[in-house]
Amino acid sequence: MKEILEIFISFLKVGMFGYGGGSAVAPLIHKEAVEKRGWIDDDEFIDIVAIANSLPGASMVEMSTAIGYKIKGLLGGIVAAFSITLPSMIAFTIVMIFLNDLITEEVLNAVTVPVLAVVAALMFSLSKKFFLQSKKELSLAIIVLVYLGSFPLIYFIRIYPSLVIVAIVAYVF
Amino acid sequence: MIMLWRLVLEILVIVLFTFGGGAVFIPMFERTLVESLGIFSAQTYTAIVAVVNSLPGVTGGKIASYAGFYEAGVLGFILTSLAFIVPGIIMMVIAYKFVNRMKQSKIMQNISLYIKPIVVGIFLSIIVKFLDLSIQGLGWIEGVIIFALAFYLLDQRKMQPIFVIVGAIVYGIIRINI
Repeated sequence: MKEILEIFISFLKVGMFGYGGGSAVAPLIHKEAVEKRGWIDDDEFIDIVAIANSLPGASMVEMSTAIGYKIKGLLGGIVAAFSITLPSMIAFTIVMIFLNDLITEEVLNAVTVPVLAVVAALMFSLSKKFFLQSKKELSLAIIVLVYLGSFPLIYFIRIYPSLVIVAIVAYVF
Repeated sequence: MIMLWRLVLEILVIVLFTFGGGAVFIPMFERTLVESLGIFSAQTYTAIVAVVNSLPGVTGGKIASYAGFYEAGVLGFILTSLAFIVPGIIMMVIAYKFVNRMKQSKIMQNISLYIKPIVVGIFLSIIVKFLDLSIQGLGWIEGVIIFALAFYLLDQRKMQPIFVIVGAIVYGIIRINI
């Protein structure tokens, strides 16, 4: 029961402060599930992010489900998925009903834009950590090659991350 | 009522066939909610997207559940929320079990090694996109300073991300009032 409550609190926090949606929320999940609670290690976290990106549907639902499921089975997965999603969905609906006329797009943009820079910094910090880990496991040339293979495909050509994962894994083997 | 069931069905189809998540949901829902079901006008949808991007949480889920509420009240909210969340839970549990069963094999352990840089590649694409958006909104100097300061606080000083996020929101509010 204590664990279920911890799952609820952790993912509620991520859902309420997770700007950007999808993989942009992964650093907050990492903070809670790996650094703070120690539910999973870095390698498991990476696997979960990769699986969530390879499946259709919302990555936030899928990442939280996997972690909750690992700690407390199906109930843990369900609690995690609902606590990361539902509060923001309720909050959004309330904002749309009551506050929509009061807030202008200008105000919304002003609030969001600095937060996006912070989310970028959060992701950069985690990327740095993973880069240092990869350096111990693979040669620098291979790491850079995989970065150069995946980043432009996703950013410029807008290929789904799932296809990139499949393609690079298939190429390596 | 018929409209609500059509909406629930459409959400299920979107969730089961949309790869990428996050921002990818926005055009998918536009096609469904504006063009095919006509629940929102194009103008309303644009306003919804502006608010969706400014609030935390699941991008697609927020749009789906609000459309449900708009169409059929609390029952609509519940059904569309479930349609958005439940398929993800089922798919992940199956995939997670499958991957864990394969994990013992040598191939899977090797794949894991390469997955790490791929995930960083996915992160890099989001970092560049968000930096680009914040520089567009704040200008070069301010955008880079906020990014660098946030990185210093998060990475070097190990500050709690939530505090830095709240700090950025407060900064944004103060900034517009000056």
